Amino acid sequence: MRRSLFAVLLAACVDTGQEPVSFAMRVAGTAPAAPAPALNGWEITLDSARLAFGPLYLCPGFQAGSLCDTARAEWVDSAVVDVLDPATYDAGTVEGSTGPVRSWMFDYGVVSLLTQQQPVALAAAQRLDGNSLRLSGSARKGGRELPFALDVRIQQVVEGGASIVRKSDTDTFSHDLAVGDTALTVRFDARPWLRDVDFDALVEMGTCASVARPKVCAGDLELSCSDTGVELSQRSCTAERLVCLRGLGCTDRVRFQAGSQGDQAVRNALTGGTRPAFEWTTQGDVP
Amino acid sequence: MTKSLGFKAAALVLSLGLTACGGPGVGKLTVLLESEDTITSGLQAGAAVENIKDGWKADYSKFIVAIGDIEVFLSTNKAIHTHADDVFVVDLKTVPASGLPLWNLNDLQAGSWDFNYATPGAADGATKHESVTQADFDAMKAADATYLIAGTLTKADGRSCPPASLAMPGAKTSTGMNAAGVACYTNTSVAFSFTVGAETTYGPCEVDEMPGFSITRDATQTVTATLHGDHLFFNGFPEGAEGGVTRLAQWLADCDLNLDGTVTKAELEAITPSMLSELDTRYQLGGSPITPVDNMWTYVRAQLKTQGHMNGEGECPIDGTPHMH
Repeated sequence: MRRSLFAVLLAACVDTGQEPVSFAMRVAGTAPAAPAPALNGWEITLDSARLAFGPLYLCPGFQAGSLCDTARAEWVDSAVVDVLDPATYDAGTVEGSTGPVRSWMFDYGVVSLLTQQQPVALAAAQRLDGNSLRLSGSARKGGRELPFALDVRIQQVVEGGASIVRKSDTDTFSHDLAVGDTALTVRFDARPWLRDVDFDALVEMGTCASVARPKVCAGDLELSCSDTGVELSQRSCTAERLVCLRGLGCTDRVRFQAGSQGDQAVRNALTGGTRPAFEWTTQGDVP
Repeated sequence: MTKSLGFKAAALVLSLGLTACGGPGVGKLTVLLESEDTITSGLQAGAAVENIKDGWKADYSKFIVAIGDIEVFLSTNKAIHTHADDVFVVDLKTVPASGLPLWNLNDLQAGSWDFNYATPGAADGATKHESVTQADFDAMKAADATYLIAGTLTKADGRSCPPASLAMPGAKTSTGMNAAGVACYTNTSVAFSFTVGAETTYGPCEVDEMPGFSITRDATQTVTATLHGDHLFFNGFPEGAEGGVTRLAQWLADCDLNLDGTVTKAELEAITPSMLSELDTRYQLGGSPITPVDNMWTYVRAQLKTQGHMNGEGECPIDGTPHMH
């Protein structure tokens, strides 16, 4: 009787209902099948898209963020994702415990810590010179081509100590973490990121008389203008394998500056836009 | 030894039995509706934490909400729950500072309880409160709206700088440009009136990380469902403390595309966040409860979904707990 009672008590003491889990964190991109649409009929072809991702937290409640005091599972590292490559790459290990996870939150390589005055760039962002995203590609419309490059650093400015992106009500996410889980793949797709960039605003068909600037673009012709609006000279940007950008004249590519419309469009897409896909792999899944 | 053990065991059982017969008892809950003073008194321009920092003042003439669907669960046994189904359409502008008692729950077992409520659409069984006109109530029912909000932004030197690709200034002359090079026009008073669907469930709510409320035997406890009125002017979607938030209103003034002094739903729907130069790096969209934030009407709906709290500043997870009836 006493031995049986002891065994029951012992079993009750060790059975917490939760078991530790550990599975692979993987990252992947999406190969674009065709140029992606942007505003006003422009089409985007990306040459390179490298994203700093992490850390990632999986939360038991429906809402992550400050209401997720204790994550059920976490990957506290960071990784650079080639967003144009659909292959999966190991990025480390997710550690946690069994049970349901109904929400998530993550950063783009730059974390806000309550112990630090300024957000901190993790290793992945450091590999991108402190940025969260480094993009390059071309925008095309009606025979015109605009090469572009963009560096974006995405960091917390509102909620100190909180991850910058968290699951919304309209995102679908639910999983029961189990010992049989072998991997979580987070897959990004860059195609929507430049959808709201206004490339029309970067070009112009002007004249010195109509635009009060020292340099005016008439398509791909750079016009040098006097203070009185008289055209002084012309330069074919195309002949020099350059493009003519409003306000700049001939240049090799669009370089979106921090605070520009293009920079803000990409920033909004990464924070308030379409979420990455979360793909679970468990024991017995066909590799 | 055996006889002593048996007597002690019997005494224990007897004392437990006597306690069980008395039971924990029951009490009552009164739920009040509370308006933050940003609704009743508006938001001032200024440098204080809760002021609008870009010089605009905001006043509401109506702030009507459909609210109710109270649901409470015994914290230690979720199978024990009860609810008050009434949904009222109330003008929060008229709610007294002490709160408006609208729901009562009786015979709640003494103990800790989780608190949940909702701001549903007005179409299905809502009751008009005396603070709401029949016309407004009918409009909300027809639209199955959660909110009917009307107000005005004012600023002595106010101006609107609508996105160039959408602006319809007509005969108006630009008075200059903003920092992003967008043409601006004098606009010292900008009105808005939104009938909005933003159905949301709130809860289980907590105050300072203490969940719900406690019921004491033979006593009546009070909790408040508090709605804030400044989230439209937040520069993000903070989930916890709102101390890091900056309140700004220029973005709304910039949505007056035809510069007629009124911002409409159609104008907001036409504008993506990236078109608004004012929505710059000060803003954070990553916590939006609706994604993608594809236009400024979605942005408005998303901000309105975050307004429900408990007992003032208590936090309530949104859209997490399905209501059980």
